[in-house]
Amino acid sequence: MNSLSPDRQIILFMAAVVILVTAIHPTASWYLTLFLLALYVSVYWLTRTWHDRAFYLVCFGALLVVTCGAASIWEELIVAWMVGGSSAIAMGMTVSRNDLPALLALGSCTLAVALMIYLSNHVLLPLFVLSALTAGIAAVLAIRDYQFRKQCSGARV
Amino acid sequence: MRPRRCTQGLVLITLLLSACAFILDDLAVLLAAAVLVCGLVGLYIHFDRKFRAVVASVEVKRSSERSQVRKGTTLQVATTVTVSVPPGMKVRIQENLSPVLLVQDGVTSLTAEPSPSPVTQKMLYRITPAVHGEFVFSGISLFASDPFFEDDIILSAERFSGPGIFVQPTGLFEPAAHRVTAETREIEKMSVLSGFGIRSLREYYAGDDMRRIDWKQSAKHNKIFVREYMGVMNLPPLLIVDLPWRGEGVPGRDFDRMVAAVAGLAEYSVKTYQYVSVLLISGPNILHFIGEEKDLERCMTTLRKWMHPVERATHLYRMPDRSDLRAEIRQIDGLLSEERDPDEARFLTHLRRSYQTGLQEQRVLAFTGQVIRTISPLTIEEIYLFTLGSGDISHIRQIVRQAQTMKIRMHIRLPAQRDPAWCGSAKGALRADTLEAFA
Repeated sequence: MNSLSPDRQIILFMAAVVILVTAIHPTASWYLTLFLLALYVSVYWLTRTWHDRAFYLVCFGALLVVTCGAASIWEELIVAWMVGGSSAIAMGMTVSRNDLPALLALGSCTLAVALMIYLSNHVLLPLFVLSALTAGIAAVLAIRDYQFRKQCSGARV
Repeated sequence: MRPRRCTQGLVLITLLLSACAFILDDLAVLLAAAVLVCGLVGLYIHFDRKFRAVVASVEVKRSSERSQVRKGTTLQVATTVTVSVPPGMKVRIQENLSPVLLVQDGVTSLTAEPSPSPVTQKMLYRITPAVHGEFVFSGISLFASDPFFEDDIILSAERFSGPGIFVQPTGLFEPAAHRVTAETREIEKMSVLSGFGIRSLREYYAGDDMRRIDWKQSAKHNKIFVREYMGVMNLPPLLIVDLPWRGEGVPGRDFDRMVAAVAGLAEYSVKTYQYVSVLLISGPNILHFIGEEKDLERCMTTLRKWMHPVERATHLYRMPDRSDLRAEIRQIDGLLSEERDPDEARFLTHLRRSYQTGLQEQRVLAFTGQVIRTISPLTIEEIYLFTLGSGDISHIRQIVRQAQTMKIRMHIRLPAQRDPAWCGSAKGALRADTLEAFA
């Protein structure tokens, strides 16, 4: 018997998770969730040979994630991880043991963000915090990049 | 660091989700946008780490054929680059060459694919310094990309740059040299015509010419010995190939025909005269000289290596020769003696003064000196010059003049139906012995 490839495994796992989440917390739009799941799987199948596959997957994956978020923030986060993982595998970003700390860091960040959103009543404050954090990280990376380029051009740091 | 098309699309989705979250005040939409932001930042950091690892793994070893050259001389440079490329990444490396070093041919960039172990590749190219002075190879440019981001960096630190080359200047003018011509060449073979050199001695046979008896050897060995003199044969022609300038665009079928004609004549020369000499020029730049090459295969290999449009380090810009200027002055003198209109006479006087100044300042061109130095040691009777005949032909005029001075017959071969300037009076102007089409 042929074993399933990693991308098919994660798609099946994701489908199981989404169906389970929909079953545990049924919403008024449960049929929409299942429809978007089917759509995502179809897009995953159809865009096998397309160049910028990640874009199409994220487009349709975002819709699925938002629909799942109608039930609970935590269920939405789990589905978002699933969509992210399947998109990463689809783009050929194979995961090794060396990537584990980075993945854990990314998971922790999204978890922290989800917690912040969960504790917020409105969008404005978490949106502001997110924007400020992104701008800060971009500034730090820009400074690091400048120093790196200076070093490579032979200048004494 | 630049986002690629896919990442630009993802950023757009993130912005749309954020805007929707803000307008609808929906936390679920905000979480989707926040997860995307986290993902994009993660991808950015991941690419940055890989990019730094690639740069850290780069090792460059560069060597040039010579460290001191004269301006306009072509030299070969070999650069070995070792780089390790992580999975999912593509790396392109390019030599950062000074604009004054003209690349004649070869490879100045390479692409490295992902590999578990470091990959070593070699770039081999030839450059011609167009300006004198001291130059240091200033390193490489590295371009890396993955499906989400791309970035490039100039690596000019000490470990990526060097060595230096010192380019010596060449003057525009220099004094000309003189030469003595010979018409024939002695070979160690029997021939109808005999030369002055002695090829061998043999015993006398009845009927041998008595004048050929070597009396000293005959007296020494008590036998009659006769001298066998060296054979004499005609001299092979010198082939001069004027390669087109790269700036004139892609050469057409005429160039292919010229290559075929040169190869054919070179082959004929080797088979008939045992050797061939080929001088490769491009405008007033001497590129390479194949001197008395006896190996046909080696000759053809060298021709294959050079027969393509090249970059010209110097141009003559249709510079008139001293004799041209003198002719112009003589013509003006003739016109001045007949001229009655004072305005035209003033103009002609001014023109004559300009020509006179040019004549006083002009010396023998460096190119002419190089041609003389190259041709002088050769014993040749004929020169075949192959050219496409496009653009400036001042350098051809210089070669023809020197050939005439040395009493060498000059045959110019150029494409059929060339510019009207070449037809009719051109032969007379250039004073070539023959002017024929090679195809």
